[in-house]
Amino acid sequence: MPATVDIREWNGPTTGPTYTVKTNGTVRFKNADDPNVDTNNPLVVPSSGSDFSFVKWLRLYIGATGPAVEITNLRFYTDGTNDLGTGILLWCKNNASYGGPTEPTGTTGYTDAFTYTSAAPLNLGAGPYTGTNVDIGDFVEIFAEVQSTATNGQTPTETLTFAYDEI
Amino acid sequence: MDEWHHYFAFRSGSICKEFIDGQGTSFSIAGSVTNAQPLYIGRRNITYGNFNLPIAFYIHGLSLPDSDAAWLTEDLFRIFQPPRTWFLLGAGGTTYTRTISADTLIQQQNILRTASADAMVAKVQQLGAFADALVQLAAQLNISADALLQGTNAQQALADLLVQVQQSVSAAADLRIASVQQLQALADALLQATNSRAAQADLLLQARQALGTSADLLVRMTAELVASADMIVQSSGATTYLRTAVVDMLVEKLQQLAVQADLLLQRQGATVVAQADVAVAVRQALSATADALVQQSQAAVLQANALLRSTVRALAQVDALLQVPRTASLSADLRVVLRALLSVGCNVLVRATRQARVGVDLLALLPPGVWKGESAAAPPAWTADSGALSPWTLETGKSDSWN
Repeated sequence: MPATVDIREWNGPTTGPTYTVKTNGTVRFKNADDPNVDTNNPLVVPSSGSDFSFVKWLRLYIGATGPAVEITNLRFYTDGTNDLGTGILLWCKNNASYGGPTEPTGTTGYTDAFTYTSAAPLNLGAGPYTGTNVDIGDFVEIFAEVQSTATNGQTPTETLTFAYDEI
Repeated sequence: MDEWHHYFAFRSGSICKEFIDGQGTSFSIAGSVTNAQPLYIGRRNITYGNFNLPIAFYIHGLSLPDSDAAWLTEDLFRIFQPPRTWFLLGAGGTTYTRTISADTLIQQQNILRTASADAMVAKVQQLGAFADALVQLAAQLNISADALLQGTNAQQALADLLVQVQQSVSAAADLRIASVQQLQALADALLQATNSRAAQADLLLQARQALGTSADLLVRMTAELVASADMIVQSSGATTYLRTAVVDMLVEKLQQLAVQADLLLQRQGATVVAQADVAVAVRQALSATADALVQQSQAAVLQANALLRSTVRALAQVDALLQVPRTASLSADLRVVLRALLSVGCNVLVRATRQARVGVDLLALLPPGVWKGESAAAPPAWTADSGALSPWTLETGKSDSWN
């Protein structure tokens, strides 16, 4: 039986974060640090410059069932095509530790998430990872940027993929 | 063909499980497994000539401790080559993926303002004005503290002056007391002198009385002489003429004696009396002077006492004035605390202003259908006075010279 592995979104302060399982769910980039997929705190099309969402901290988690042997080769990627719309970008990077809720003021240090594909993923840790009920690998620190050319409304969804090998 | 497959089987009691390339099945068996009950994996019957060669793989047991793995090739005609590496599906085991959907909700920036937003902006501006007022109040407190410090310094100078005056008054009182003591000593000396003159006057009076007594004695002696002369005349039978001559001589002598006595009385007695009167007058004058001196001394003592009381009051006043700097110091401490509280208050106001700004921005983000009292006017730029709402800083180096 394969291990139970989920994607969890972290929120709250570094001293007491909360976790929400997001596997097969949705993360909504917004101007607040919460996992809720609702209409509160939307991003705003700025008259100039950019409006940045709060950072989403995503990380893989081994649940009640661990791997028979081990889990290795954690990675993150997209389909390589930005379908969110004009003027809407996703930026990401891996981070070994949780930094709490932050709203970036720029994109320095981050990479366009759509440059990461299955063929060229963002590596989150080689492993091996074992055990149960344990967080594994690096965080994916990802946020959205809305530029003045964007239009209002709910964007199409993009699929973000976490992959790993298990034996 | 030419592929390795992974086979794994185990038995626990009557449960037997088999896995080929991770796909397993289970079945029940009973009793022991012997070679008469072969386990066939991919069994095929291949006939070579007259031989029917079943492709069978036999294991010697299926109990858990004796579990075993075996690899088979589908091409049994080739020489069996045992694997030299672990059997892995793919490069590193099975690849699994977990996906999430990502989206965002975007609000067009609102170009309208609402009455609520206007009210909030007004409130923010009021907060800014209040913050300015607090800043001005803090500055006034600073000025008041400086004035208080100056007043305290002036009071300290006045207290020093009062101390000097008190010391001068005390010195004057000491001088007056010394003068009174000297006057008292002089009065005592005069009293002694008066007493001496009075004794002299008494002595003179006694001398006068003695002179009077001598005169009386002379009169009595004259009378006795007259009587003696009469008696001599009578006894001697002398003539009247003789008798008269004797008497006259005696009378003349007596008169001379009386004259001398009177003269003596007039000369010495008048002198003595005058001297006695002068002595009495001097004594009286001295007594009056002494009384005046005593009164002056008493007045001087009363004045000295009054001065002492004044000095005590002045010292009390000085002590009270010396309390003023302490009170001023407490006021300064209170001022510092108040300034700190004002600093906190200003910071709260600054945060409230920022939050209000966020609130205004959020109000501007609400969908147009939510607005009330929309107007076509373009939103003004954020007008919060950054100077007035800048974080409050405590000017610790300014006029904080309290000790």
